[in-house]
Amino acid sequence: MPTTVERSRALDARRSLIFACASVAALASSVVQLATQHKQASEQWWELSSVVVCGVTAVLLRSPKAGTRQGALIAATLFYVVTMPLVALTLQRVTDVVLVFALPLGLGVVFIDRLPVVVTVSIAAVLINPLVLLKLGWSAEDMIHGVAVMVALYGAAVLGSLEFARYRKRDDEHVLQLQHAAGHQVENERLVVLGRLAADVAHEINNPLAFVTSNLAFLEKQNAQTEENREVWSETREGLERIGAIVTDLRGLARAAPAGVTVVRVEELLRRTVRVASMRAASTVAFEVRVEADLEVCRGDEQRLSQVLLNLVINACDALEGRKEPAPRIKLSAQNEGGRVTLKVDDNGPGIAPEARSQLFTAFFTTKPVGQGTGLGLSLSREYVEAFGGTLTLAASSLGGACFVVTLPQDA
Amino acid sequence: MRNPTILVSDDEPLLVNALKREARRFGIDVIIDTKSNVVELAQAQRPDLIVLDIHQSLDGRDLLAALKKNPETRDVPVIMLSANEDQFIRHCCFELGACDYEVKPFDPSFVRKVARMVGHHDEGPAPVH
Repeated sequence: MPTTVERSRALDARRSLIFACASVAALASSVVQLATQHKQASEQWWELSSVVVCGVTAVLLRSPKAGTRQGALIAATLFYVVTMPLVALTLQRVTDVVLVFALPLGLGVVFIDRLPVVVTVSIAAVLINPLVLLKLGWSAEDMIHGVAVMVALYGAAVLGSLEFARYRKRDDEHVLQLQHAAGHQVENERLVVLGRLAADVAHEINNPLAFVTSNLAFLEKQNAQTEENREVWSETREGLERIGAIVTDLRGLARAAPAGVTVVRVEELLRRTVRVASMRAASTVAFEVRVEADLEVCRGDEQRLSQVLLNLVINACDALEGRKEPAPRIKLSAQNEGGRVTLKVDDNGPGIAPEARSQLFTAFFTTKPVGQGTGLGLSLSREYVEAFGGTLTLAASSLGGACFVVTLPQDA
Repeated sequence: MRNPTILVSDDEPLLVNALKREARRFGIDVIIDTKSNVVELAQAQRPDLIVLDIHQSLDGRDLLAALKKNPETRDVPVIMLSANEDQFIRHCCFELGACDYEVKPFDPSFVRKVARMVGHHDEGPAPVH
C-alpha cells in the first residue's frame, strides 16, 4: 500500500516546482529592474536573495529524506516571514509584495493538495489583482513586471496542484487494485480452509457411511420378505445415498484449485446446486429446475461454475428470508440462446434497488447488513465466469424479483 | 484346500467387521488389521488380496509402497480404499502399483468384485440367526 511518506514526498516534489518558478520569476524581475535601473538597492538584494532561497529550496524539496525537505520548507518560510515585512515596510510596498509574491507562493505551498481552492483563488487573483495595482497607481512598466511574476507564480501553483491531484488519482486506483487483489487472496484462503475442512468432514462421514451401507445390505437380505420391509430398506438406502451425495457435493465446491474448462452436464449442475443450497434455504422455499429439451452440456470450469451458481442461489435465499406470502420461489433454468447456453437464477424476492444496480458487480459492494457477507461474491463470480468465456449479468425477472444470467459457450 | 483369504487393513473396526461379514457370505476368509501392520501380516499370512485404507495411522500409500518393495508381498493384488475422491491420490496409488481404487461408501457390489478377483464366485445365503 502507498504510504503517507510516499504521498508526502509527492507533495514536496510539486512544491519544488513552485519554488523553482519563484526563483526564476525573482531572477527575471532582478534582471529587468537592473536593466531599467528601477529598483532600490535593498529591493534588488531581496530579490537576488529570493532567487537563491527559492532555488535551493526547490532542489532540497526533491531530497528523499523527509527531514531535509521539511527543514528546507521551514527555512524558506522563516526567510519570507522575516524579510517580507521588512521589505514591505522599508519600501512601503506592502500590497504588491503580498499580492504579487507572498499570496501565490503561500497558496501554492500550503494548499497544493486542494486543487479547487488553488484554481479558484488563482483565477480570482489574476483577474482582480491587476485592477488593485492599477488603483495603487503603478506605472505601466511595473504593472507588466508585477503581473508577469504573479501569473508565473499562480500558474506554478495551479500546475503543481493539478499534478498532485493526478498522482493521487493514480495512487487511489492502485490502492483499489491492491484491495481487490487482497480480497481475492482472502477468498482463496477461505476456500483452501474450507477444502481442508470438507476433506476431514468427508472422511469422518464416509467411513461410518461405508459400514452402515454394507450392514444395511446384509440386513436387507435377511429381512426383505414383506413388501413393507422392502419399502423400508429402499427408503433407508435412499437416505444414505443422499448423505453420500451431499458430502461429495460439498467437497466438489470446496476444492481450492480449479480443475479447468471441461464439458459440464447442465441438468446435473443445476440439481446439485439446489441440493446444496436447500441445506441453507428455509424449508418454505420452493426450488424449480427447468432445462430446455436437447440441452445437455456446456463448456466451463465445473467447480467455479458450481460456486458461482451456489452464490447466486444463496443470495436469492437471503433475499427471500422471512418471506411468507407469496410463497418464496427460486427457479434455476437453462436454455440455448443464440448459440450460447444461458443459465438463469430467478426469484420472487424484492429485487435489486435501482440505485444499487450500477454498483452490483463492484468489489466490496453489498446490500446485506453489516457482518453478513463481504460483497465480494458477485464481483468474484463475474470474474470466474469471464475467465472461461462466459458473462454474468442482471436481467428482468419473470418471477418479479431478481434474475441473474450466466451465459456460457456451448460445447462444440 | 484353504479358502480364498483377503487381508483388510483399516483403522475403523466397525467397517472391517462389515466387510468381514459380507466376505464370509462368499466363503472368503478375512484377516483383520486395524493397526497398520499390513506388511508383517501379509508376509506371515500370504493373503490372496489386500484391501488397504489410505487414511490410517500410517499413510496407506507408504504401506502400499512397502508391500510392492517386499519380494514376498509384491505380487499380492492391492485394492486401495479412501474416504475422499481425489484424482491426484488415485493416480498416485495406481502409479505405486495398486490394482484398484474404491471410494467409501463403496458400492454393495464391492465385495462381489473382490470375490471375483480371488476366483470365488458363489454367493452364499445370508446367515439366519
